[in-house]
Amino acid sequence: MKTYREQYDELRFSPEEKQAMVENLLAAAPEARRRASHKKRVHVLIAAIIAAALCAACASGALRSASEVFANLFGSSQEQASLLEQLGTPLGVSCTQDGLTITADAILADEYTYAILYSIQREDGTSLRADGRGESVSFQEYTMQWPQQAQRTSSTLRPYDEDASDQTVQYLEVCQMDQPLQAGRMTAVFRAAMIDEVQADGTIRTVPLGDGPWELSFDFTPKASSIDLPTGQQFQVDGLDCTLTRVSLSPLSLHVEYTVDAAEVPDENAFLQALPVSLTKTDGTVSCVQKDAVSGLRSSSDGDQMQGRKDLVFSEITPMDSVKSISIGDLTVEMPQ
Amino acid sequence: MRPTLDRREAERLVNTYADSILRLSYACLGDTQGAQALCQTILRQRLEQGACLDDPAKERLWFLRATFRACQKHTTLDPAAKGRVAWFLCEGEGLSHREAARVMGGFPGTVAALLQETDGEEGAR
Repeated sequence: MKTYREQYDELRFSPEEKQAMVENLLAAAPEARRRASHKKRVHVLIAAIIAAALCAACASGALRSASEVFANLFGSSQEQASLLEQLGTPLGVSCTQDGLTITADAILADEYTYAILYSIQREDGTSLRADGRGESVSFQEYTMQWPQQAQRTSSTLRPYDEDASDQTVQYLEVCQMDQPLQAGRMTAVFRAAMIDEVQADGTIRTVPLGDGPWELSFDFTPKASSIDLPTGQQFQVDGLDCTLTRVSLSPLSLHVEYTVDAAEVPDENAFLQALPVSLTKTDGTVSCVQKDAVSGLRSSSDGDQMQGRKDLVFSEITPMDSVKSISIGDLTVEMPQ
Repeated sequence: MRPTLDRREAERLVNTYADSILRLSYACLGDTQGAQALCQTILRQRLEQGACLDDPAKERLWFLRATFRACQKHTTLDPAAKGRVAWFLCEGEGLSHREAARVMGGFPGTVAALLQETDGEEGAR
């Protein structure tokens, strides 16, 4: 009978199979990224600067890198830019309706969380800001259609003005799932745009800009960017016994799951508030606090227990080798050495 | 900055990682059916990320971790499968217990325990 080593040494693709994989890879690579000859790699930051210059010259149509899109939001150090490139995917998908163009610039994602930055500008290039005041454009309805993904989520969509001197405003969506993100076709749908108008008397009134819809579709493929920390530890919250069942950490976010040994809790909000979650870095700083976490509780399928979760999106991309430990209540989970 | 994909780079990726992906998926799943498709998927994921991982060690860990997680999504790994994975990563790929723990998720001590249980099972298949 063969040893493990003998079995594994025999496992290899044939030269023909490897050649077929090479050809498939080349066929799958976008045309713009193919080169006839090997070119020297350019540093991420230099590429971001070049991409920024192209975007300044041409406000629509230029595809920005993920590190450039998210630099102001999640960090612009060299290491953070590299991580943003690993976690991010440029999209560059646009839709124009009613004289308004919305572009999905890029998506950032780990196993449970995604963030999408949208840019919005008038088709004619005029300002969206009411004489520099007000909140410019807003929408009465926004949905993300994603047939492959289960529904339980927490999602925020907030305005963000990357550069107050240009004619474009941004919106950032951050969505945290309680199940791993699935590959599939995502369609962001904006409806009923409103715009702030300066009135004759100098006041600002919000008026309809256009009904839309603005539909932006793109394919999403999850990336392997999270690690699982050890689980099974028991702790108490509000006197109830809990068991840690999942801790998933990426440079973008922290996802925690636990069970509660009770069919229900007396005060759900108080219970969730009583479980602080924080992250301690190797330099001793605590970078995340309770108030930024999204929490939830639901009954287990048999009704005898409850299942809780805590999700935290970091305020900046956090290299995982800078993390010392995760604290969940009075429990401390150390990062693997 | 995403690396350009020319034939040389595609061949480097395939020649460097395809066999490791095959062997790790065999350790996880116990068969090689679908391994070529899995390998293609992992390699395409790497392309879609587009980031440069100039450190070969980090790049290798990335491929091993992506393969392990893909296998986990395919099926729940029993303790025997985890033992085979730990053996493959440490004995086959030469990873330290810490590096193997980063691939599998968990403590280096867990990897060591898996290796102890697997030790002596060579030839048991």
